[in-house]
Amino acid sequence: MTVEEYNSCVHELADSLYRFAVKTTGNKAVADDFVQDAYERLWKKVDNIEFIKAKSYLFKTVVNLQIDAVRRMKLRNTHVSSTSSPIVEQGAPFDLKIKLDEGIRQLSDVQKNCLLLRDYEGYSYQEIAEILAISEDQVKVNIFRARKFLKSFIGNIEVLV
Amino acid sequence: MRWTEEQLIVMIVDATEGNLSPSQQVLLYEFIAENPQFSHYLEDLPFLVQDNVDYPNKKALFKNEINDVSAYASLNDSLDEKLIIGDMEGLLTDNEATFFRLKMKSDDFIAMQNAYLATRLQKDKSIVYKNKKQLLHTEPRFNSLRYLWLSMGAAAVGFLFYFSGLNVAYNKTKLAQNNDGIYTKKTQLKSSVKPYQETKKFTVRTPKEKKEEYTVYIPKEIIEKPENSVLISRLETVQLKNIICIREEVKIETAQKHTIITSPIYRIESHSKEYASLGDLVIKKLKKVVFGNEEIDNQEQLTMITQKINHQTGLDIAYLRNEKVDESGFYFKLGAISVERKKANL
Repeated sequence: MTVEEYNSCVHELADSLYRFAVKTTGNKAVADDFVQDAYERLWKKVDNIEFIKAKSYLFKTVVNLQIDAVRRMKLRNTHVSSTSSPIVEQGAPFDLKIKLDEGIRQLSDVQKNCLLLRDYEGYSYQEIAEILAISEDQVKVNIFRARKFLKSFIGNIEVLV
Repeated sequence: MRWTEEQLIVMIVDATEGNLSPSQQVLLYEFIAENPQFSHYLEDLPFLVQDNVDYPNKKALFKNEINDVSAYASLNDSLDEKLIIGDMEGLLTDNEATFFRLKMKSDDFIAMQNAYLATRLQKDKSIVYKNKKQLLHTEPRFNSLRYLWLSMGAAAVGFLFYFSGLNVAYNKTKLAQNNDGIYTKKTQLKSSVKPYQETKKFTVRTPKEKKEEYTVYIPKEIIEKPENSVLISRLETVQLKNIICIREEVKIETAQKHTIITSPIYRIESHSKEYASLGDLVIKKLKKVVFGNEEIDNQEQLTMITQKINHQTGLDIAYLRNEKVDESGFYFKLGAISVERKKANL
């Protein structure tokens, strides 16, 4: 990957990556660190990573960073997202946004990552499986479970809307 | 199917004349049922109502009925949920998709679908990463690292070349020129047992200059204790236990486990005791003796020690305070002496 390609990765993917990190961690400062770490790692391997795989690499790195952070937090008996203020889902009715955001934060990390990668980034099941290092079937099941949980969590949509 | 009224009338006429196939009759009946404004035509078609004609391809219509969604076959959830989420995720097969559309006639199903559609997340474009400029790079990483690696590599090569290759070459050349008996090789040390009769300078060189002067460290107890101080004179006969070379100093262990370190010395390889003795070396000239940081206020003791050393070795001894502590733990230093190989008859 050339420097120009790397820089285009910054322009095109930084927002998505940051958004994903914010949603998964629920903490903008932590998300900022994750994005910087991810790009730093990408830059270190810029000679070895193809441009087309950069996006996958970045998201994978953020997921791994999140896993590491959660492990560290668990050691301290707290969770990354549990310490952060809720991030409101934009683009949907306000009550639904709040409800959805609460629901997302209650999902397991794997379900959350699967759903965010699917809905935000439009990744295929295969790509999600690769990023999260799980099988495609697990991705399907996790997304199914996540949607089912969210649906039951938000309850009667007509009331909310 | 959408017919005009004229087409409908034609169909009805055909029906009354018995020219419609059973399937056409069903279509006609369904059309009228879906368009109640034409229901009065049913009066002309009593046989359709009365005969209760069965659609012959009804089974074909139900061919798409499914029991499960293949993508979620492992789950025990309801079929409707599987169909809805499967449709959202694009995981339905053709049959499943057809069945899903059939299900869409149910209001409950549609309500459930709407609930699930609400779980689809929308990109939050208000979240923007503001520090992109920090992430951008202008120079290829390869080049930036290349200069670093090249400079480090050059420095390392230069260092190694300077301190090993050049020195060896330099000393070999000098040795060849001067034919000195330096302990640079085991064979040379072996042979040194024999040439006791020779008188040769024990010559040591640093990379840049020829050195003939050494600093000899003597353990404190050797000097302090009268019985040990005698060892100084005995050193000439003590067998070497080992000679260890550390770049610029040589550690000599005697059989009595006393250690003498000479420094600086360019290179003497490690050998075992039987190849040489300290008798090979004799202190030729002493410029000064340093007593490290061990302050001896007792002038009488100092005088006694220096006299002993002088008597036993013929060395002139000086006293210097505030010398740095030697890490090896020796407090007294006989400094800046020259040595030469002792004649066998000495």
